[in-house]
Amino acid sequence: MTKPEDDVGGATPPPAIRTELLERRYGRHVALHGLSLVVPRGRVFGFLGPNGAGKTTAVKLLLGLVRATGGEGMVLGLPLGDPAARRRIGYLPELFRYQDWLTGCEVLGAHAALAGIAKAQRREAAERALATVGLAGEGLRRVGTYSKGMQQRLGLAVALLGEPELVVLDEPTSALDPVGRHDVRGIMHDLKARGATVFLNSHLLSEVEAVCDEVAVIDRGRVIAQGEMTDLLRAVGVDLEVEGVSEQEILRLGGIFTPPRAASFPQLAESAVPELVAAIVGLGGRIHAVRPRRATLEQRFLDWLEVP
Amino acid sequence: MLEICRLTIIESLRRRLTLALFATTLLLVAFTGWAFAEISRLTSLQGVERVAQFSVLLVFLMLLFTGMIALTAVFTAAAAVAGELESGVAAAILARPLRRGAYLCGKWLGLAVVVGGFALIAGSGELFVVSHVAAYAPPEPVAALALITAQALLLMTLTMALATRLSAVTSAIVATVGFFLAWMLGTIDLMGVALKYPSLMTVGEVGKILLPTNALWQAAEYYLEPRALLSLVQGFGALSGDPFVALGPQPPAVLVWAAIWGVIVLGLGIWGLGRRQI
Ligand SMILES: Nc1ncnc2c1ncn2[C@@H]1O[C@H](COP(=O)(O)OP(=O)(O)OP(=O)(O)O)[C@@H](O)[C@H]1O
Ligand SMILES: [Mg+2]
Repeated sequence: MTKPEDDVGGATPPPAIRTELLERRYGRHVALHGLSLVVPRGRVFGFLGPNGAGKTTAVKLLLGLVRATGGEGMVLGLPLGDPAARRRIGYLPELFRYQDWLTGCEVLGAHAALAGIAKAQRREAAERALATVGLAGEGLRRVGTYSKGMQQRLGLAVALLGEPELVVLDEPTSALDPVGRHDVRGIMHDLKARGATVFLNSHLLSEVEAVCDEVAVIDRGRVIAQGEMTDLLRAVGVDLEVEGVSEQEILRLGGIFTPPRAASFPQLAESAVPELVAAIVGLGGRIHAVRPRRATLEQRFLDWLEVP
Repeated sequence: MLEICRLTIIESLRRRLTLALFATTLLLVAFTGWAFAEISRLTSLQGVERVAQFSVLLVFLMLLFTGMIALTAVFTAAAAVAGELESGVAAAILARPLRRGAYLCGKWLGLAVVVGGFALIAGSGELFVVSHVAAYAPPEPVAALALITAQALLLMTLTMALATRLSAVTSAIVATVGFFLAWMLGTIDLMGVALKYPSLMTVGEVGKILLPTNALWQAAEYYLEPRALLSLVQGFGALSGDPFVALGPQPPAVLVWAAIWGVIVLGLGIWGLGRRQI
């Protein structure tokens, strides 16, 4: 688990998102409790937590749709809610709704105009965005005739319009079919490849595991875990199949022996595996298999939330 | 802001609001034409009595018309503002580099085109058809229509401001009650003036300041009444206090206050929207 790094000073651009003790209360209820985050540019950042944890609240604070009741934050180096920052942000809301009396193309055209995209480029930008989300050819239909998944795809297209520097996606695949979910992963990879930052709220941990560089987990408004994906999923513990060593010798090395030949070392760091193997071989043991325990994000998530 | 205005107008076209307004206008004008033609054919009154008869009829017609466009303004505004905020359409729009004030002003402009256009077109249709079939025209139709339209816009502004924080139904109901309350207070004011009851006058004045819609109606009413008739009535005295007769023009201060009131209420709406979570 890492703490938010300190500001990278000098000529480097400010981080995509920086918040300090950002807080939102609704009456006595604290929806978000002192959120401190730094999301460097060009990363895919996963924001996880159970229902009601405060993820959507955090996103709305970042976009200035809701005002903070405490703390502060910067997005793309500008204060929260600054229109100049919003010009460079694409946003897919959790409850995505677009004007159902407009066609898909018209919705994109209106958003392109509001985003300040030059008139001559709006049409092309809209068509490119539609194609990216798999809605090419559907742009001339009224949004009211779209299925729910198509509306979410349209929302993604709106968020991708005009190549924003930061794309904020609040559960972007909640209504999508498996192909759509796969497409969204591809979209996020493409965004990362062009240097954009992605802030992703999601409950689909396999999706987060596949695309995110870094995650934070919140519960009841508080961050309970945060770090690089590779660190969080780093294997801890190893299972061996060995012969020719006694139970006492395995115990002495910190392991547990289960006859006939299973030995497990639940606390062992992945980096210490070679030494362990060498030690067992030195004792005359014969090793048939070495299996580091790789955690899935889901297991980790349940551990953090202390779900038995 | 202009983009929001454009979207608001497209919405009223696509949702067939404009079509419905157009159709009701035709219906209204046709019926008015028939009614005035019949009365004109059947009446035996001549000269100033005939003028008096048609003046009263026209004032009554325009009062109904004012109520109709007031309700149109209220429901259109409530649905346009609260509807978009409630559905979530506004969340995507307000995440764009657009100030909430610009969003509300854009909506105001778009709705003003729809509601104001309806008031002006339907109102002109009414006055035109009456002058055509009954050969009776009010003295200052343009001023009267402008004031009736202004009244609708004031009510629209009030509803929009309410709808930034309340649901569509609630804001529409509150604005409608406000409209009728202003009318009642205006009548109380007229009675207070006629009977010289200070308490009624005070209440009436306060009502005029809080919601100047009825004051605009009274201003419009004056421009609908033939001057000759008014001087006749004035000697009479009995009609003062009658809500269907305005004896004099409203002082310019009332019109200025109505304009200021509209700006203040729109400002309150912007403030309310700014503090709302979307
Ligand atoms: N407008 C509001 N008024 C009162 N409480 C609110 C409001 N909006 C959110 N909350 C509360 O804030 C908390 C966080 O809500 P939020 O929508 O941020 O959760 P979330 O993490 O996005 O959940 P989900 O996974 O269900 O989308 C919840 O307890 C919720 O009840
Ligand atoms: Mg949420």
